[in-house]
Parts: sequence; structure tokens; C-alpha cells
Amino acid sequence: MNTERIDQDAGHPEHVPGYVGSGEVLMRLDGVSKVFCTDELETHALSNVRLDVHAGEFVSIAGPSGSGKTTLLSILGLLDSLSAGTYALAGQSVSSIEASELPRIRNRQIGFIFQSFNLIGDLSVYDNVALPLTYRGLPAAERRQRVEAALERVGMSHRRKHFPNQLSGGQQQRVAVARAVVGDPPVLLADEPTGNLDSRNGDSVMELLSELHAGGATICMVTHNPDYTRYATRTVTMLDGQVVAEQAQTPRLAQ
Amino acid sequence: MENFFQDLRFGARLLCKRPGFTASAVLALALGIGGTTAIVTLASAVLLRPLPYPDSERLIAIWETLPEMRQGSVSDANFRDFRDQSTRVESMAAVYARDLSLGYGDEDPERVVGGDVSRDFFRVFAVEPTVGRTFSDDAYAPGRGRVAVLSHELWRRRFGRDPQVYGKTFVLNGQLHRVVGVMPADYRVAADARQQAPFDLFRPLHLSAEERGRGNHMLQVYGRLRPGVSVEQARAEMDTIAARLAQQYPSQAERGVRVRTLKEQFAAPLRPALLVLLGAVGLVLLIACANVGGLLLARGASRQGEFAIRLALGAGRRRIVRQLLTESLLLSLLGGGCGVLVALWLIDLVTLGLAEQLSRVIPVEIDLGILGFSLAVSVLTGLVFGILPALSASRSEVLLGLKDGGARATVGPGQGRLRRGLIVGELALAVTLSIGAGLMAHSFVKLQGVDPGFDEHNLLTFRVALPEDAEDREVVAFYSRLIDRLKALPGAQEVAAINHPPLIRQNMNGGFSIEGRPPWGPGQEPLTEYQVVTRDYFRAMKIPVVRGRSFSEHDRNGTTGVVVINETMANLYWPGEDPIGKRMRTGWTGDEWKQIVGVVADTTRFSLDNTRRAAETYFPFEQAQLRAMAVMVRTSVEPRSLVEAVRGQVRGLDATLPMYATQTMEQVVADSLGDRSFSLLLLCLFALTALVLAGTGIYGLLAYQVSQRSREVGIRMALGARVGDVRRLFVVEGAKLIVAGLLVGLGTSVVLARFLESLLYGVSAQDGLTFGIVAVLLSVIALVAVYVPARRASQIDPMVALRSE
Ligand SMILES: Nc1ncnc2c1ncn2[C@@H]1O[C@H](COP(=O)(O)OP(=O)(O)O)[C@@H](O)[C@H]1O
Ligand SMILES: [Mg+2]
Repeated sequence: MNTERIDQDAGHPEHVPGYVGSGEVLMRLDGVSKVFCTDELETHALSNVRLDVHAGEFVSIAGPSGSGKTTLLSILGLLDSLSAGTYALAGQSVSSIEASELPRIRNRQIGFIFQSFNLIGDLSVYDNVALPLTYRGLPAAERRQRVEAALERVGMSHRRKHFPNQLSGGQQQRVAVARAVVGDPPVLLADEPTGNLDSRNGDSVMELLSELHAGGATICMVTHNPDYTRYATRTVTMLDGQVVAEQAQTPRLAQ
Repeated sequence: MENFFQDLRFGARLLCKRPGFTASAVLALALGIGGTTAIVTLASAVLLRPLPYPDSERLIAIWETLPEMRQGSVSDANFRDFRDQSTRVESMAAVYARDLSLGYGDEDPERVVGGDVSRDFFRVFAVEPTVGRTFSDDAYAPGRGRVAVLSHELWRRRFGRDPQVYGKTFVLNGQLHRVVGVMPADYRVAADARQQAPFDLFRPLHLSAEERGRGNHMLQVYGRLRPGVSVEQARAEMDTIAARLAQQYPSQAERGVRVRTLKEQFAAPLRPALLVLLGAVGLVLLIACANVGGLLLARGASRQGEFAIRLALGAGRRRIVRQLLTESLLLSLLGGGCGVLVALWLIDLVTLGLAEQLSRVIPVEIDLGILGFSLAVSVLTGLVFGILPALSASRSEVLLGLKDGGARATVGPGQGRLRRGLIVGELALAVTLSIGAGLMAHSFVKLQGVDPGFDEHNLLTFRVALPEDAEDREVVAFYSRLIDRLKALPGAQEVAAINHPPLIRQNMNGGFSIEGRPPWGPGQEPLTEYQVVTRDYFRAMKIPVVRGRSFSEHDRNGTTGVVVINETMANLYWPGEDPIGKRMRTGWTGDEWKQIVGVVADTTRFSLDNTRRAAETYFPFEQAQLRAMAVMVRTSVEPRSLVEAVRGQVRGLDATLPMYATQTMEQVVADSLGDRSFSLLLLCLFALTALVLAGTGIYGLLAYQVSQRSREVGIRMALGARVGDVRRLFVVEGAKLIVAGLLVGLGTSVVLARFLESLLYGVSAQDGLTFGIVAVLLSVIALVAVYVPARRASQIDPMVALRSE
């Protein structure tokens, strides 16, 4: 094992041996802090986080509950703002982006996968998957073609008319994956995607993510499961809002 | 039991913790329950509760009819025949209402309504006096001393409830009368068919030979059925008697008889309005229930977490349902309590408004039965709407508990359907109610535009009545002096007098014949209204003279007898002919031919919403004196400001004469729409309540829906939805419900508005304008109720999608 303790002041390592990626920095966090102020309490969810994610990387994030993993993902996904520091997405500083532009960037650049699937109960499988394309304003024909392809990819075509509550958890999460990738976003953010699944279903979702990674997607995934960490090209460990360890590795490839 | 108190305590704490929810639910319940209680109380008092007489269902009123008159007074001769020939009516009695002047000492004389009653009158009602006695047979013998029985009200007002009043004397129309008895407080037989003014006192009926004639219709007749006899049977018998009289006497040829129960007679004029109000308040109650149902539903669902934990801790489903029921019960009792306050206030308001028709005849007090009814309604409401969310909450919890270790795919569609149903229902009900109110309001606006035929502004009216035994000469002299004095008052422009001004609901009429035309067949003799006016009447009222001339100072006693007729009369009897110079003769003025010298425009006789026009004949006062006249004062100032000056002039001429029925003609015109404006006010009140309830109800349900779906909104935002996308999502969903609610409501209105038809004037029950305005108004209100939560939805923090574990 090749563990390297990252010194906060030592600058970012430009090359971590063993990662698979094109080398170009896609997301760069520098000195990022996030403070939640509730009533009298100030919670430092993130403190001075520095993290680069390169195109084509598969980053696995681990850490105890409350260590700031979800907060980190939400900032990477433009769902939340920073209290301090800078965040550059594809070379552009996020703070310079108009708030009204954020939805468009989320829609095109980022796909989300949640622990609790977060499908919309009133919409069919098909409509759930089509949603990002609808927001993108794609014409119906193209939308249909891409939704079919995405469903095909996750093996859920035969359930396209079902409603989420008619599916098992594993099936729901595959639909959620289809929805995340249907718009071909360069970045996938997954917060404990297997957290609510049994191991068989969890495995198959991980296979899917691994395939997507092999197909060129950049993935940031929170997981506690050491088995699934192995799919990543790099693991990041968080504690009390800080990145305390990073480790590059050779990923186990999808079978 | 211990569980119950535990639930109660928990429920109370919960209500305190969410004051917004509690306040809106209690308010909705209070409005719905209070409104229902008030109107049901009134309706039952008027329509259901028996009159305060023993075996009151056996009491009937008997009227004569003519083909064009559904209900008219009875002549003494006919009354005697009815009474003597009937076997099914146990007792029958007549009363003749007279305006009397009550005065003694230095006090102002007061106008009272006296009932001169035939023997048996009090026996018909089976009511005993509380003080003294009623009239002995002696009292009816000619030449006996004058005696009177007081109403409770007069006894209270003028005799200070003196228990020793028996034998005391007082002055009535200048004559000494002796009190022999006092009737109980709830004995309030009214002096007219519309049941407006109860009699102040009673005297034995003495009629002159002329007054006894078969053609002199002036009595109201009441009867008591024999036990076991139905109204239908009595009606059949009276019809037979009337038919026999019609054969026997030519003057009776066309006359029939009308028998109604006293109850029916009293309730009939109020029934249409009360039924409409009852329907309206029923709709309000439904809306209030839907409103509270929605609130309870929302709360029940937002407490799913709590229920899940309770279930997990081993609470049975029945236990949870019971807890919810206890809470709902608590809520509805609170609402019911406040509802009683609302009801008391509404009943006060309504009895005040209907005082003319209701309170002086039947006292309305909230009774324990109705109170119980209102509480039952509130508890039932609580039960029904407690059970609905309780069932759905406990069911959904079990389902969710089974699903993939607590993960959920947002809310299922089942509850959403119920919620959408409530929104559509509330809106539809509000639309229906608003259209009802709108149609009434539109009718009212139309009526405001109706021209009564005279200028009612700046016009004061009051009545004076000289004693019956005053000489004709004195009468003419008195009124001409009074008119001259009043004209001299600053602020007075024109002064005139008439026997019965328009819209007063009193009249005097009779037959007539036309010179050179064959007499009408028996019973076919048409009627004309007899109007006696002083010279300047048309000018003072601003009634245009269409043809010929109005009266002049030459039309006096001793000169040619003249009359002026109205246009309806001219068109009816001289179609295409000039009536000026033609001569006619009336039953009232005897054999003398009267020459028609003018035609004046019609005035509205009965009420603004009664378009019927009567043939009218005006006689100059100096040729046809009456003792009692209404004086009309056209003023250049606010007419009320002249009242004291006018009173001074009347007193200056004759201190014993009461001046009564003092009012402005504007008031008279408004009063002729009195019942209508009042039911309109109530209906609008209910419609407004409905709008508020529906608006807040829809807002509440949608706001709740937004909060329920905040996670979905977060997901959508994470997927790239813009603020506008989210807002549109909720607005479009809301708009669909609005359209559905409007369509259902408009459809219901088309069906229900027909029941309003009898209350409408100049507006069709399907009036497009009203429907349109209501549809637009409610769309706007509903859209606001939709837009506000939608806006809030678009401000949801997208992080909720990630942080819902
Ligand atoms: N909206 C919020 N308001 C206040 N505190 C928050 C909020 N979101 C997260 N936190 C706090 O920030 C810290 C990090 O949370 P999170 O990123 O969810 O941790 P993890 O996902 O690693 O369990 C926690 O202490 C949490 O309580
Ligand atoms: Mg987390």
C-alpha cells in the first residue's frame, strides 16, 4: 500500500502515482470552508479543504458520519455555496458564475446519485429519467432516444412505465443512475449510492459506476464500504471537515 | 380512561404548539358551525316551531279571493255565513284593524294598532289574559261602555306593568276606555296578512249597518279546527260554502275562499329566503369541513414520522386512530364553542334585520336543542375528518415501514388525490355560493335602477288621523291649514297629502263604471285604486301629468266632480282613445259622475320588485275627504332635519293629534326591498366567508403540498430545474385544479341557481355576467392561493434532496 499523508501547507501533489485520468484538473477546491449557522450554533462542516479532481478520476470519499462528506459533494455539485475559499469547475471560478446560470451548469456538467434514490413518486421511470433532458429543453425525439439508451444501459428498459414505488431498491437506484447519466455529464456525484441496498444490488450498482468510469466519466463517490472503495482510482478520507488522507490506487476494473 | 386523558393532554399540547393550525381550524369550524346553527335556529323558529298557542296546528286564517287577488279581507256578512255554516271549524272569529290615537294627560299622543274583535276571538287562540279578563258577551251589546284588553307590550310601555291596571281608564281617539285585561307577552297576533305589526290593544267589534254589508271587505278571520279535522277537509268545506254564496249573491260571483294554517301564513313570505340561506349556510359548512379536513389531513401526514415511531414502539393501529380522534374531538369542541358565539351574534343580526317580520311576532332565542345540534355537527365533523387522515396516516406508515429499510420514493399518489379532491371541492362550493350571492346582488343593482315613478329624494312623510266623527268641513280646513303652515317652514318646498302613498302596502280600492258603456256583468266589475290627494300632490311628488291637467283650487266641494287617472287605467279602459272629458262613477263616491281631467304617469304601488301596475283613480281631497291622510313634505334640506319643526306645527294645530309613521320616502323605497336587501346581505356574508375559507383552504393545502414535496423540488433543482421551472410546476398543477373546481362549481350553479329564481329580479338564473365575474374573481383568488406556495417552492434549498436521511 502506498499511503501518503497530505500536508496542508505542502501544496497539491500534481501527480499522484497510479491514478487513471487525462490529467487535466476538472474541479479544484482551494481553502474551502463551509460554516452552518443555526441559532447560536456554528458548525464548521468543512475547514480549509483543498482538493483537485482530475478528469477521468474515480474518487472515493470515506469518513465518519458528520465529517463533511455530503457537504463536500453538495459544494462540488453547485448545490451549496462556500463560506470561504475558491472552487473552480473546469477552470472557471464558481463564485463568478451568475446564480441564474447554476441550474444550467448542474444540468449539463453534473449527474447526481443519492443514497435514497430520490426518484419522484408521481413520475414514471421513463419520466424520471427524462427529467434532466426536459430541463435542458431537448426535443422529444432526441429525448426519447437518449432515455431509452440510458435505461438500456442500466437494464431497466422493461420497467419504463412503472412507478418508483413498484420497484425494488436496487431497481430504483439503477433508474437513478440512468437519470444521472442520461444527459452525459462529465461529472457524476454519488452520495452513498449503495447505502440502502443489499450487497447483491450494491454490487451491480458499483459495476454500473465502474463501467461509466471506464467510459470516461469523472466520479466522486461517498462510501463506507471498503469493497467498493476498490473501484476508485483514489480514496479521500475526511475527518471533522478536513481531508486527512488521500491515497491513489489502481482500480479494480469492471468485469 | 387513563389513555383518554393522556391523549387529551397530548392533543391539547399539540394544539398549543401549532397556534396557526389551531386558529385556522377553529375559525373555519366556528364559521361553519355558527352559521349553520344560526340559520337552522331561525328556520326552525319560523318554519318548524309551533306558534305559542295551545294546539296551534289547528289554527287557520280564512281569506276571500278574487281571480286577480289571492288573499283579501272578508266582509262581515260573509264571515257570519262562513262561521254559521261551517261544521269542521270549531270556532271562528274576526278582527278589524284600526289605527287609533292613544293619549292622556300632557303626554304626546301615540299611534296604536287596535283590533276590534268579534266574540270568541280569544277563544279561537285559546289564550287567557294574564291580568283581568277578556270581553264578556255584555260588551257586545249596543251602547255599552268602552272597554279594552291591552297587549303585554302596551301594558309594559304605557302602564308600567301595573298589576292593578284592571278598571283603569285611558283616552283612545278622544274617548274614555276602561282596561279589563292584559294578554300574555307571546300573544302577538298581527294586524296584517304580512304579520308585520302586532295589535297593541283589543276592543269589542261594533260595526255600523253599512260596515256589515257583504261588499265591505275589511275583516281578518281566524278559526280553530275541530280536533281531528285536517286543513284540507276544512278547505273543502269552506269552498263549498263559498260556492253556495257565489250562487246566492251576484256580488260574490267571482269570490272564493282561501284557508291557510296560521303557521303557513306566517312562514310563507319568509320561506324562499330562509331556504336559500339554509342552502347557503350548508355550503359554508361543507367548505369549512373541507377546510378543516384538509388541515387535519396535512397535519396527519406531516406527523408520519411520529406515527412510525409510535408504531415501532408497539402502539396498535387502533390506538393511533383513537389518539387522532381524541385530538379531532378536542378541536371540534373548540370550534363548536366558538361557533356558538358566532351563532349568537348572527341570530342577533338576523332578528334585528328581520325585526319587522320576525322578532315582534315570534321571539327567536337559541335553544338547547339547536345548541346540541351544533355540537353534534362539530363533533361529527371532527370524527369524520379525524378518521380520514388517521386511516391514511396509519396505513401509509405500515406500507412505508415495509419498504426497503425506510427509504422512500417521496409521497405516494393516494393522499395527493384526496387533497386535490378537497381543493376542487372547496373551490366548486365557493363558486356556487358566490354565484348565488352574485345573482342576488345583480338583481339588487337592477332594482336600484328601477324608477318608482316619483322622486323619493328629499321627501318626508308622516300620517295624521282626525277623529272619525270630525265634520267634513273641519277636515278640509284642518288639512289646508296644516299644509299652509308646513309650506311656510324654512326648508319646505311643496306639501301635499294622500290617503295611501306608494310603496306603503296599504290601499283602498273598489269598482267603477264608465258613462255610456254597458255595465259590467256581475262579478266582472274591474277594480281601481282609490287615491285621495290634495291639490299639489303630483307636483310635490314630481309625478308627471301626461295629458290634461292636475287638480286646481276650483276642484272643491260644490264644483264639478273631477278625477285624474293614471296611464295604466287610461290604457286599459280607453285604449286608443282620449279619456279626457270622459266621465266615470265609482262605488265609493256614489251616483255622481266624475269627469276625467287628467292622466298622470304610473307610480310603483307595491314594491320596486313588483312590476304589477294597478289602475288608479285620484280624487281631489276637497271633493272626497278622508280623516286619515299621509302628508308629504318636499324639502330643500335633509328631510329628517324638519321632523321637529313639522311636529311643532301639528301640535300647534291640535295637541291631541298623534303624528305617526314618520319616515323619509327614500327609507320607504329602501324598506320595500327590506327582506331582499337583508337576505342579500346575509348571502354576501356567507359568500365572503366561503371565499375566505376556500382561499385559505386552498392555500393551506397547496402550501402543505409544497412542504411535502420540498425533497422533490430539491431533486429537480439538482437535476437542473430553474426557479421558473419549479414555480411553473406548482402553478400548472394548481391551475388544473382551479379549472376543474371552476367547471364543477359553474355546473353546480347552473343546476342550483334555479332555486333562486323566485328571488331574482330582471336577472336570469343563468346570468352570464354574474357567472363571468364570479369565475374571474375566484380564479384570481385561487391563483393567488396557488402562486404564493409555488413561489415558496422555488425558494427551497436544493440541499434538502441530499439531506433527507
Ligand atoms: N444545513 C445544515 N445546517 C447546520 N448544520 C449542518 C447542515 N448540514 C450539515 N450540517 C452539519 O455539518 C456537518 C457535516 O455534515 P455532512 O456533510 O452531512 O456530514 P457527512 O455527510 O459526512 O455525514 C455535520 O456536523 C452536520 O450536522
Ligand atoms: Mg452524508
